[in-house]
Amino acid sequence: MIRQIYFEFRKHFLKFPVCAAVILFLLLDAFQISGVYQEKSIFALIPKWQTRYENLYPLYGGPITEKKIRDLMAYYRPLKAEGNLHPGSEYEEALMLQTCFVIPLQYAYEYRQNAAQIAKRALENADFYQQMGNIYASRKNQQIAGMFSDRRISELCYTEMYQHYLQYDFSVFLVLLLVIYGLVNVFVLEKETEMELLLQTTIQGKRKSAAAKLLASVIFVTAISLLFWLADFLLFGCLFGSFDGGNCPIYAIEYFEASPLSMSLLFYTLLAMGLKTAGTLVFGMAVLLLSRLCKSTLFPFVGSILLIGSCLLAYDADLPSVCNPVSLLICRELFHWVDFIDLAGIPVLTWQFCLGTALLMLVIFSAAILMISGHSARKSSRGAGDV
Amino acid sequence: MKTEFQNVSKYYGRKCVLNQFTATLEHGVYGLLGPNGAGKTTLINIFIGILQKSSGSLLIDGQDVEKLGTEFLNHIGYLPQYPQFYKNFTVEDFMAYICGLKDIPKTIGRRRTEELLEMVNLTEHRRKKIGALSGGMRQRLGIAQAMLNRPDILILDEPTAGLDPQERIRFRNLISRFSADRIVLLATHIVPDVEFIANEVLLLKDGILLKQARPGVLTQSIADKVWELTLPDPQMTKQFDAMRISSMIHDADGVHLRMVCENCPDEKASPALPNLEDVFLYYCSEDKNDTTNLF
Repeated sequence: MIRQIYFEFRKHFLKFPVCAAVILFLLLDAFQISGVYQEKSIFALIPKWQTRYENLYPLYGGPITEKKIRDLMAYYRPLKAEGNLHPGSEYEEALMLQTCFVIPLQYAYEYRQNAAQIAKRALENADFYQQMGNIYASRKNQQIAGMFSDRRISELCYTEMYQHYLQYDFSVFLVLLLVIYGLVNVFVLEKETEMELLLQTTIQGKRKSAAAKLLASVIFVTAISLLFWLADFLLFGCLFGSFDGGNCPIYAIEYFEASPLSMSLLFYTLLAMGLKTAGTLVFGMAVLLLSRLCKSTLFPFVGSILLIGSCLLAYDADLPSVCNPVSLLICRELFHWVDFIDLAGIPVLTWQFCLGTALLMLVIFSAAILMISGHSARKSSRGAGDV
Repeated sequence: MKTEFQNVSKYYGRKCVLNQFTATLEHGVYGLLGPNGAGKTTLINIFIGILQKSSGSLLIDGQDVEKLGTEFLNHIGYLPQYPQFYKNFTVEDFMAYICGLKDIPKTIGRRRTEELLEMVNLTEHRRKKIGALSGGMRQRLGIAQAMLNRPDILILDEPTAGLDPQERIRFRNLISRFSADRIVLLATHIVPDVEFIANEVLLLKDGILLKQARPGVLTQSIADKVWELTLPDPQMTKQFDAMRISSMIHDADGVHLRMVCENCPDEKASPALPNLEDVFLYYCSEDKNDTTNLF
């Protein structure tokens, strides 16, 4: 089987056009990330702040202490009182302090209190709903209380890289294009080269060959996805000049203030990579199914574009997205708020439900491909050309 | 090994494309001859198990093929019509790939690949990409892959279509070589391919088996139906347009016609020795004038 997977992988993916497309898209991705850095990074916009920030970071960054806060405010308040805070003015130091230290420090310092408040309210709600007999709402609030009960941000880290990296989606679009390009031909090729008949007359040529194609495709999609997600991470880190902040909790970034997760940013990055890969795999298997069903490349190609396009549009139009794999591709939205799905009275976090749905879809698509592959030739109406 | 087709029929809706096909094949080359649309590929597709028959049965050494299941696939080697294979695979890779599909262990597969590539004269091209092979080389690779599992039955669907004469002869010789101790079913509408190597010919038209006999017997069956005639004026050929003309050669003496018909077409016509092409023409072509009823 491993030999078959190797040959299927070589046959369909280790081809010059596919490899060239991957390299081209990686360059395009790097170009786009460079654009993000130029447009959004504070230090790219005002380069002289970087040196100043690096000088001040040992004083105010790292573990948050009362002393550091007092020192920072003692330095910042007089500067602020002196005048305006516009860039280029002589009071720029105050603006830099405000942007890079005061606001993040205030957010971090107050987060513990805010989280505790949320946990307390949630517990009160849980008791209230318990008394009212609404078990689901009570369970939901208990879970929220558990999530927020012991949250704190104990370090002030440089998280700018993560802030922008976790909002970056362009590579998803590139990966989807590569998935369509790579997979659309997998089964169609056998029909176009008249090899399908030959395959069907060999012991391993039916379902096992299809299984090898399926697994080779899974490897391809996973490899391409991870390559791009990893490239994104490394490129962001290199351009922003730092991989710091990986140990901070995810809610150290304001966007994830109310996130249901409490893991570190680095772990969240790995989770996001996994979820995005799962989303890509669902689309990949759908493309593969279309390739299995059609006889020429054009139909699965157009079908795949339409399918993925409509999923993206549906997501953009705020239609219910728990069954839409795009929600996994843009997974940060799933972690922006605490959101539950009522599953027979049990509150299940939306991201877990989305992941479960995606895995179910993967199983269904794979089973459909294998079933069709086992039966298609016997049911095909005619041979190749002649009667 | 003995293969028996017993009243095998195939219908698409009400249309019958194979009608009560009954034949017995033992060792040797069997030429499945018929015009386009005769049902050759349908018969082959039923034989190799990728198309279900509407009725009838197919027996291998007295055992129903359907009961043999996938085990039957170990007995057959198949070369489809117009295969292109995979252009980015080398000859060696492709053979290794087929070994995997046929469940042949790696070491045995490697040895057989070497032997077969030697036999089909592709050893020096084994590292070439398939995309860089000529049509003839590709067909030789095709027969080599079909032989990998040492099949008892070798099925070749239009294997010489598109080959130049030299390659065609080479390929015919290969088929002959591989036919020892096995059944070779060679479907084609190229008559000389069958004429030179087939032990028996199965003549198929409109899904019906017209004849199954040795080439010599078939030619003998139309011994008094082939005529040659030389006409001094090319204009005179018009009166024979409706007849089955197997060849027409223009030269300084006029036009030399070779015709297949029941009765002498002209008083100047002389009888000629029939060949398999004449047989094909006699049984398979539509004749507008000849009222011979074949059935």
